[in-house]
Amino acid sequence: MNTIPKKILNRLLKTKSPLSDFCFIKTNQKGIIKDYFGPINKYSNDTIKKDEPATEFFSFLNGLYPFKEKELMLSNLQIRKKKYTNVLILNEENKEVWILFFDVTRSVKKYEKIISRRNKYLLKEEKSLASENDNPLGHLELFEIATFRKTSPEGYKPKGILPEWIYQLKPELQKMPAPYKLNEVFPFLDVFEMEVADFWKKNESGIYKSGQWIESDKNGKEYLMKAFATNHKGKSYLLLRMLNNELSGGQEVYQKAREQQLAYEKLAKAENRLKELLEYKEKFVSIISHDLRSPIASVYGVAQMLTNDDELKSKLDDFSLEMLYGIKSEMARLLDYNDKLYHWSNLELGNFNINLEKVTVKKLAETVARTAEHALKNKNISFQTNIPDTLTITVDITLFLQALNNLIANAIKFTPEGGIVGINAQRDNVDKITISVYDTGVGMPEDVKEKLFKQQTTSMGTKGEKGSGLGLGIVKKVIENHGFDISVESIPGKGSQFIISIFEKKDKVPN
Amino acid sequence: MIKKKITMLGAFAVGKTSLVQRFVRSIFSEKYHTTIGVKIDQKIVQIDHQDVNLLLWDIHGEDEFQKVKPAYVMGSAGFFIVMDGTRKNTMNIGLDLLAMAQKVAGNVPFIILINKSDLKNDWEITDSDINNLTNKGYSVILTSAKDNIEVEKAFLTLAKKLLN
Ligand SMILES: Nc1nc2c(ncn2[C@@H]2O[C@H](COP(=O)(O)OP(=O)(O)OP(=O)(O)O)[C@@H](O)[C@H]2O)c(=O)[nH]1
Ligand SMILES: [Mg+2]
Repeated sequence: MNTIPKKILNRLLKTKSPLSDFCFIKTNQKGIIKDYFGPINKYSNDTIKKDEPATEFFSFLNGLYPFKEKELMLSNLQIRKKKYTNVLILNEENKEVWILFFDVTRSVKKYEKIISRRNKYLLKEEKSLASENDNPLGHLELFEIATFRKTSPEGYKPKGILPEWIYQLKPELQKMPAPYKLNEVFPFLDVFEMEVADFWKKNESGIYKSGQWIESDKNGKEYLMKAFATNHKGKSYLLLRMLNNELSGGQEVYQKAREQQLAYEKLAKAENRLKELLEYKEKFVSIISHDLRSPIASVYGVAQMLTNDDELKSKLDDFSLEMLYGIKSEMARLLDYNDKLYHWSNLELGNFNINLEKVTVKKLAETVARTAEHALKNKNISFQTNIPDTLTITVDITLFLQALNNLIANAIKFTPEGGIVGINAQRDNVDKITISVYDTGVGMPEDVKEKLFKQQTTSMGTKGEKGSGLGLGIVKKVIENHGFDISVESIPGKGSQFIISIFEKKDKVPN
Repeated sequence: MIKKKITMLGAFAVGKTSLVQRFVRSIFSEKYHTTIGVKIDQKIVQIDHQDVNLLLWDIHGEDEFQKVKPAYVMGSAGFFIVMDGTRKNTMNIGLDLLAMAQKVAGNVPFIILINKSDLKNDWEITDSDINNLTNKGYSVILTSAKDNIEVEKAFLTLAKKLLN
């Protein structure tokens, strides 16, 4: 196919017809088809062939050859049963004739509907309307627009034919004598009149649009409406338009946006509620554990006193003695548990100040070892460290020791007799130090590892040791409140390693 | 017959449409169908042996997408500022609209309705918030369009104020 000459292309771009589905044929001056392009066959009953006369396929071309005009436009041509086209014929300097087709079936169909509706309406009215009533703004009823001229402060005379919807919506109009008091029928116009009073009075040009409003018919069906004011030849006009078909999309957008906003607000509310509840719970735990401490401590104290009383012990039989030791160790555990609970809830509540001090890791490790001495001996576990002598960190010593104590206690708990527990520490780079607490214990499977810091987990130790499940929660809180990280590595059957990453921020370090 | 325009103002989804529908048609729908633009309903009520036609202008809710056109308030004989007790921010929006309406409509009677009183357990607007409003001299009525609590009273009270 040869290219379309620029001149024709330019002409093409100027046509208002839609370019979709555009096609053409090209003939010589005698009307013989020399070329064609596009879905041309939809306009013809027979398949288009080159070197055949164009009139064979398109009867509307009969009598047009030889072409005299340079250009000819045929609009809304019904070319087949349900096919309408605009045809543009361009005569190219006595060389070739270009016949361009633009499919307008859709717009004609729409127009057809409007015309037939209008005709039906005119027939119903029978008598033709007096010219006085003609609408000077044109046949706006074809676009479902009702036109009124303002003839008095309250009165509106209909112009031209009013579209049918207005009588469906407001049957009372049929009985009302013109001029209509429109704002009694459409109270919305009360406000619109006030808005446009100046516009009308000053006879301004252009169109003044109202906001949208909703009318409902006697069946409750809702219609979206809009009013327009305009001036024409010194007279004021009011146009009413029904938007239903156009704006259902807009409604959906607003609806979605607002529903989403409501859902979001609800979620935020639930979240706040949950936070409050959690805080309440932690306060509750904090108060209870605080109040329980002294009675538990005093029972423990009594048990301790009794187990140290040799005279008493000599009077007890083995069973009673065992019971007494039982009470003492259970009370010790309860006291420890209660203390942990108290610490944990206060950590959660943020009821503590971090009091930073410089300390060597070595010193911390020594303190931890002393605290664990008994437990280590009990299971015959050896404690090892590999820490540079001068390695110093800046932490809240009390809190940090608490974290390390918990980690070591945890390590001992899950390490069988004769195993190893230890602390390594090193400087990784200028501002990062890692401390790891490791054991040669039973390790833990992947799923336990994942849950470890997220929720309270508890399981029995290798020697049946019980735990509160609070230990690691406390560790995590302490580490996080220092701005450090903690992670865990573990191989089931081989052991676990808790790694604390300490980031040294210069501004945090006290002198 | 006397006609009086009453405008419903408030944030979105506070229950403006629901209150009007409850009062005019004695119906309530749980489903939220947001109002686009303006919907005008009418109801004739008897105040002191006198028929009054109330034109109830139910206006779309104020939010970032749609701002209420001050013109809609023009010609109001009175108005309601509707708030949603379960959503505190609807109070601030309501108070902004109140200032706007007073500028446009002048010194006409109005009542603040705090709606959804059937959900009192979920309310964010507190008694002290309500006290603050009444201390300013505003009349406040707690309503429920859903359970038909104080709805009739609210409309009739305002209607009565309009006639004096
Ligand atoms: N529980 C409860 N829900 C209500 C009450 N009033 C309205 N609702 C619900 O709140 C939602 C919003 O009600 P609408 O009446 O559409 O609110 P609106 O103020 O007209 O909203 P917009 O038109 O978007 O500004 C709907 O889901 C109603 O069912 C009430 O008194 N109690
Ligand atoms: Mg509404």
